[in-house]
Amino acid sequence: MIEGGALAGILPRNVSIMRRLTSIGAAAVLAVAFTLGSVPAPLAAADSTESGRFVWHDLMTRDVGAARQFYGALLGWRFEDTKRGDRPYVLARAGSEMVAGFVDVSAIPDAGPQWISFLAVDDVDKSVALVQSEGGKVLVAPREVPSVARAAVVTDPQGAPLGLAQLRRAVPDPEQPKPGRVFWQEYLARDASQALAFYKRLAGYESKVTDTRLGIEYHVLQRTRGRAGLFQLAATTKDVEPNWLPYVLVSDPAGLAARVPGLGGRVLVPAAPELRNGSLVVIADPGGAPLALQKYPY
Amino acid sequence: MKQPNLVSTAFMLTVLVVAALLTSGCDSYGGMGVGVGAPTRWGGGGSGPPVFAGGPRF
Repeated sequence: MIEGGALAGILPRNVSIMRRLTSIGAAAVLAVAFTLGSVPAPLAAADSTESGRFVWHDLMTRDVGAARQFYGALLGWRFEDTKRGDRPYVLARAGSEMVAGFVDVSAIPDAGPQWISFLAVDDVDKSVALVQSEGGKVLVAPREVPSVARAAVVTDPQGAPLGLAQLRRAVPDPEQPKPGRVFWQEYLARDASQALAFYKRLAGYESKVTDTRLGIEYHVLQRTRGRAGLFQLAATTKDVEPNWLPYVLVSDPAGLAARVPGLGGRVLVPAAPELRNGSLVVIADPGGAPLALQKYPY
Repeated sequence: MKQPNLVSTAFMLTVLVVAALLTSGCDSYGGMGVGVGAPTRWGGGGSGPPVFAGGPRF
């Protein structure tokens, strides 16, 4: 009902209804075409949606304001207030590039502070079914994130939370890591053999052992190139349960770690010569979410 | 029969295009934004941190 609707007042009175409908229809068609034209080319790059890539990182936090202050001061991130559905969602940028999101989970019982990393998969529904068949659990059932992905969050068979994303659009896959971005993921396993087998099935990885020092096999999970590392936690490590740890590329991990307590965070693993030549620290933000800061190459 | 008022039609077109672009812009943000209720995997006890071997091979 155009005549009685909100648009009626701005239509010319001396034009027939048919003319008006034709004009509006043409405008609508053009608008839709314009909109479609503004959407990025779908999946143009050959490797832009390659499964096995970690394509996004969301921080679960009970204090978004504290997280903004911390990551802004430590890593120079800038922030943008947006919404996902009717809920606030803060996007973080490094330079002009969006690198992460902050989600307020203060209203969700049992939600601990942590980073959830999203692994690209070919079919998120099939991936979720695989997770369940191997003993994992579904935390968030597959759902559409408009124009971005069909996404879900699960815990794997060892209990590690993990996001799964069937991408709807190409995402950058830089040839070289960039400072201030998550550039690597590491799986800290309680049972490395089981985890290797599971993630090879889930993401089509191949793996190779790149280090056996300290009596620990370090596995690199790769498709067209290395995407993540995986190693088994020592039996004496009781405080850490299997998890995916995101790595941010920095140039001075020890220097940044020195600033962490003053910004309200904690240093969980300090820089040490025997630890990748002092190139790695693991910190916790003010809410307690762990994050690795790594210099690379090291 | 009179011709359609081109000014009004152009105005309508502009309104619809702007609305469409704004809607598209809302969807163009990255990120998932899914809240997850799962406990933290790093405790604060006294067994010491994990031993990190290896390292990234980007």
